[in-house]
Amino acid sequence: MLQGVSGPALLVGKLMALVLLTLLLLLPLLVTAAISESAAAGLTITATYLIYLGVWAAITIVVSAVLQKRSSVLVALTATWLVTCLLVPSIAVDAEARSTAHVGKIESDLRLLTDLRKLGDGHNANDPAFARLRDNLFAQYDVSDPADLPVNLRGVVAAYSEAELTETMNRYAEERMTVEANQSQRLARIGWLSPALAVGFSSRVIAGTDISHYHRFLRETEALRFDFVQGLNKAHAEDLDYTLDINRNKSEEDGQRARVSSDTWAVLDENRFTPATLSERWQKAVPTLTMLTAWLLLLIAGVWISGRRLKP
Amino acid sequence: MSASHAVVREIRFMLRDRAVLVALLFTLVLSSVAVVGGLSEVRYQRATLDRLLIADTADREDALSHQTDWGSAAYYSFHLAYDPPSNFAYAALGQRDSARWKHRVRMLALEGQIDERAAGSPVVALIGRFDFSFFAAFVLPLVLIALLYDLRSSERSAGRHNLLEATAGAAGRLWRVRVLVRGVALFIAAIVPLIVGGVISETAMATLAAASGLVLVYVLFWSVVAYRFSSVEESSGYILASLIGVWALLAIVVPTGARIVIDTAVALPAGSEILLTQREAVNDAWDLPESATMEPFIERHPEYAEDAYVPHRDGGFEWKWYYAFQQVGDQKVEALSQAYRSGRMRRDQMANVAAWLAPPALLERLLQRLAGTDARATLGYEQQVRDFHAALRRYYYEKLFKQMPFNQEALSELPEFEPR
Repeated sequence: MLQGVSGPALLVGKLMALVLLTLLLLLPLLVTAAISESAAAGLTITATYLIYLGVWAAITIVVSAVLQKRSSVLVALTATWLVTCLLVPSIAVDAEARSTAHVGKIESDLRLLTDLRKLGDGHNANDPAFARLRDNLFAQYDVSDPADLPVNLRGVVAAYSEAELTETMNRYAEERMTVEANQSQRLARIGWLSPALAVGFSSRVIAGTDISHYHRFLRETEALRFDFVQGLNKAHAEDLDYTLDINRNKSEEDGQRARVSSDTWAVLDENRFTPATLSERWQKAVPTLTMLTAWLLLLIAGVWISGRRLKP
Repeated sequence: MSASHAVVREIRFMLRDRAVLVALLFTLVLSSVAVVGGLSEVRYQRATLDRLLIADTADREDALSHQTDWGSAAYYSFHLAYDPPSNFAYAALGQRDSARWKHRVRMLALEGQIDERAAGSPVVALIGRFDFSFFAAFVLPLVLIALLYDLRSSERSAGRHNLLEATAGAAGRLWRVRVLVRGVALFIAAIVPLIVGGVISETAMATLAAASGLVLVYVLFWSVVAYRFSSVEESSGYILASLIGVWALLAIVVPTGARIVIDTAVALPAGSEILLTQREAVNDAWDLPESATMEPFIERHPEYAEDAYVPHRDGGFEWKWYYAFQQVGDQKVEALSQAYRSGRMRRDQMANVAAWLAPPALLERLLQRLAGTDARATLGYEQQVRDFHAALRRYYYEKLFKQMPFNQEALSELPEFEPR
């Protein structure tokens, strides 16, 4: 039957034929990758999926070489797919969700609120929480009335309170993001059991749509917001007279006088989120790409071994 | 030979078949894994709610105890609204993974508070969970196919096919009994963990019976399909490939296609658009003349027309004006918000109809309906939150507009959220 072709060579040949077929499946991805904004990333993702489909091609060859009956091959392949693509990922997610004490948003909000209440109300310059700040300012400028300060006390308090608030809120946000990142990392490790998970994580990382990019987006947006708000608070402290400020509700005219120019808004920077460089993303994808490659190499070895068992 | 004889013989025959026993064990184990996972998720959600209820009450009482006027009381006190899992939710977690089932609301504009997404871990939400409804709808048919596809072809290749048909008398009945026995055995293996879970979580008998009935009909449907295909005089490989093709069509292709069609047909306004419009309306109100707020407010609340006068910047700040512009912010996005809700409802209704073309999706949806975890339940809960928020407004508006003197005792009459 083999007519001089060795068993391994025959199966590797079959594998090549299957891989060629998967190339056809990848054609749409390849075309869109080539014309996309970042062709290099697109082509890397295509290559990742080629490895993944190569894994399945090799699984198919090994199973059909080991099992004789065509229908047993189909049952075995379907079972493999069911277990690695559906069961392992969702059971892993279930276990992960239960094992990590993921504190719900409302619960951490409650704790956060308790912490924030201790900080005082930044809209109220007379809040006892800011007494020391006020005393220090009075001492620094040797005055006893806020109206005599060279800066607007209300703006200084607002800036101080904003910094404290942000520090507390960021601590909670970091806590949550750490939990999520760890969760994601542990799930990615399950890629050793499920190539489908591994390819999902790899392609999200390379595409820049993974959780680390999401977290970086949140951090950058928060930093932008903080700088903007502090820019306005600085204008409040330095450009708006305290006496005008406290009289702002007296009349419509007083209200108009207690204003700073709308140009102050220019402190809001233009901001456009840029994903990490491709080489950084590549580096992040190394662990899951290693899993995929290991699967592929292992299965190619499997193809070779099952080929040697083929009797001429 | 009587029918019961035939059944007993087939049961004996089945119990000697190692492959069938393995498949039944596989089913039992997977069903148990799904049920245990669902039970522990529900237990986790209940425990979370118990803790939250205590913390929420303590936080509110603490916040209220420092207040000396109605406006600040409303501003600083939050209220927990929640949708506890039903006692069948363990079988079908449904929307509870992606949609919110708990909120903390206060008397500010509602639209900004209600559409926050569930803040579970994003990666967990991405991959999805393995619950009983998923197992029964998508995995069970594959096991059944593996059990039934070579019913006749295996006997044919073993050379017993014609002999069996001859000795069994009515030829068709033999195969039908065999299919039925295997199908029912598979059904039992799948349903026992569900029933045990139901007993543990004290599910209503009617619900369990309905769920069992649905799964039984579903198993019979796939048994008939498998039986039809297995009767074709083709190789077992061909039959199996066709059956898996049918499964992929009904479980993956049709539902995905239907979702794409429905999502394109029914456009939804973006949640962020609702949020932004409402925010800008509320922020702008600070700088608008008071009448720009009070007029649209009075249109909605003519009962306060007499009390709505807000003195123009007389050195103070008026809570009733503040809450009025919060409400007017909600009024500005009413049409958008309504379109968002009715769009989601419409999508769900269309998906219900489309599910008749895809039995796996249909079973999953029906189980979620029984569990109260479908889109309709989510929308119903959202409406409860809206109603509760409206009750909060009614309570405080009267105090604020009728200028009732503040007193701590009256706070005990604050509306409380009653889950369904």
